[in-house]
Amino acid sequence: MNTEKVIFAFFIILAATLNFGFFLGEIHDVDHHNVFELFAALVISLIATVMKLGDRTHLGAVLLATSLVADLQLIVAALLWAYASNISEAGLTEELIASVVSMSGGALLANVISVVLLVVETITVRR
Amino acid sequence: MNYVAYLILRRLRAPLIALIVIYSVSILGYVLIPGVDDEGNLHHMNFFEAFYFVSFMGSTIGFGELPYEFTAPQRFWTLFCIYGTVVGWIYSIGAVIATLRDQTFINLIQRHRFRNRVENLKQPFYLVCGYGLTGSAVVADLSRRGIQSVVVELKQSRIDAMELDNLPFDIPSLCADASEPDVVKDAGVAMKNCIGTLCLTDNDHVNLYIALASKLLSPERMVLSRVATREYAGNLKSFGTDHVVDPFETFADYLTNAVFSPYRQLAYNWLISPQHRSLSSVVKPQKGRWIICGFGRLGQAIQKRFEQHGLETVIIEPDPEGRKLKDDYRVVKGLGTEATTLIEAGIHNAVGIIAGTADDANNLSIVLTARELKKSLMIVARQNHHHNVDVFKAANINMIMDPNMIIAQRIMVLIKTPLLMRFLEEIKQHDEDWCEKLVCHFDVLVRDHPLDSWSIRIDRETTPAIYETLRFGVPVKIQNLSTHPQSRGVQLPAMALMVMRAGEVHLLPEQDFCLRIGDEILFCGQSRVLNQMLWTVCNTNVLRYVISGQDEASGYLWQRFFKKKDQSKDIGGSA
Repeated sequence: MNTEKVIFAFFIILAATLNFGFFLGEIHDVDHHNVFELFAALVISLIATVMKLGDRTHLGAVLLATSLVADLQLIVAALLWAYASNISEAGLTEELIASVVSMSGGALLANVISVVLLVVETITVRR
Repeated sequence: MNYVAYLILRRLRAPLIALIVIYSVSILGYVLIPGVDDEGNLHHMNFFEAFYFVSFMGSTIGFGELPYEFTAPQRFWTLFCIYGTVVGWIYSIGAVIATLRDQTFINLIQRHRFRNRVENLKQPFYLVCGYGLTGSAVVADLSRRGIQSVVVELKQSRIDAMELDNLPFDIPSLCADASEPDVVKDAGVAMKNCIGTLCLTDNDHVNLYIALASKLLSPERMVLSRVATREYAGNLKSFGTDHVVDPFETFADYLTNAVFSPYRQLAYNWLISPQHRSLSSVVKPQKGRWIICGFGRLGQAIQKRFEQHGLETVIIEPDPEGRKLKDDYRVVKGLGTEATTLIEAGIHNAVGIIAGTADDANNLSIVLTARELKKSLMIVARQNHHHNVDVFKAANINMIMDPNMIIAQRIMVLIKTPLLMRFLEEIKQHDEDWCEKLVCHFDVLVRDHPLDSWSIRIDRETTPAIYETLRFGVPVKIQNLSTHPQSRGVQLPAMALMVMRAGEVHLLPEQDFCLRIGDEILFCGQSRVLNQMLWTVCNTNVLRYVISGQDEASGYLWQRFFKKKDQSKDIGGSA
């Protein structure tokens, strides 16, 4: 058993589940999407990315790439949310919340790919 | 792959995760803890405000409390956060600096830089493994000749010393064990422009490893190795090492030649060593009894050769049983540092003595004691450590054997021009009178200046002027090359030693020897001559002047003008 890989699996799956929780619900209904969940998803996704830094295997590099994609999407989502609630005069409109959720949806897709890769890697390990 | 970047990233994982965790916990705290705005209403910070506040708090405490004055619970949390973020930053920065100062990391960076520099070398270079006395002498000589080298050395102190050697080139150097194939590969042994590998470490086994690795990675590359024991010499030769230099055997040959054919030895000496001795110092044949002190590697090598030439030898050895001496040798037990031992060995009837022990102090003591006993002795001494060079010079010894200099000189002969090695082989076929004439020639040419040698090849790239002229059917003679390019009447202080034509050797060609395309000529003379000679062989105008004595017009207009004039002259002459 490789402890490093197990911890990484924990973080990458946690990022996926949190993101899924945020994504779930009507796309333009603010009440269905919790900002704390978005925050948690972003933090966990960042940690998962950092854990793949300096991995010289091919699969490790691909995992780094997918979680970087998820980070980018989530950061954009968070920026949109911050813009909507602090800067925009109209506040959290339905359009803005919809784009925030769709960004997180994209991140969710990246997370799912990470999880699939992780599962593939785990299955190939014989011991 | 770039190992260094991966290592940094790997080491940065923990500090980065720590920072992320500290920041996210702090931000979350501010979002959760209720505050009041300036009108006393309940106000929750949102993530944007919290992130803004934590960001500037972590780096610069003292912006004030934003967006509203804090409540007591918020200040309480701020206290935690201040220490948390400051500790987080200190830890992260500390971890980065520790990574940068880590020895393995520094080695990796140096290795990476070294590899890049070697990969970017465009000009041909020699790979020198071992930067001891021999290595530094060879590298310095190579640089003087404008040849690049790459150095691998085990001791960092010697690499540091290289910076102080004031070499004209920037020489890539690496502190690493050259017996690892990886290291040799990084040093460019498999690169096209690596001309040869020189294994000059003082460890035979390491030299063997380097030679093997070099031959395996690129079989046609020239490999030269120094060696101290016979077993390793055989081993190295067995897989095609091109040159194996054993300082003891080389010196024994040298000494034997000096005794039996001094003029040939002097010619050899002048050609391979820039600090040659003058003609008057020629060692007069000393046939008679020789005393050999110390029957180690040097003593055995000399004894074997003297025995073949039928010279009488007496051996002084402190441990005759251990050395397994043959019964028919004349052996005196002792060191040779005391007068009684030397007298017992018959110093009064001897012509020469060899102080060949592995201890410099003993060797010097033997030299001084022997001279006390007999003034006219020819004295040969082995110098083991280079730092004793001044003491040995002061002892006024006829011949000093310094292994490092012997190897360095030998390598320089090989590197200078392969033709010289061939010439040195050729002069072995000739007798003493021939060699004496040759040395007298040398003496006239250079007097007190160093005698240099170089080779010139007649082809399109290196000697375009001769190539063109020969193609037009104008004969070029050897004497044209050694004529002064500015004044035809003056001969340059240089002479042609040998012409190599299609594998055939023409020794000491006559002045009117006609050159052909593809010839290779070995010259010797004062080193400044080479530059003047390059004028003649590269510049068609200079060559024309040297051959015909006329400064011919080279520009188109001038050529037309002079041609017409010449033609009219010709017509006038014939009519």
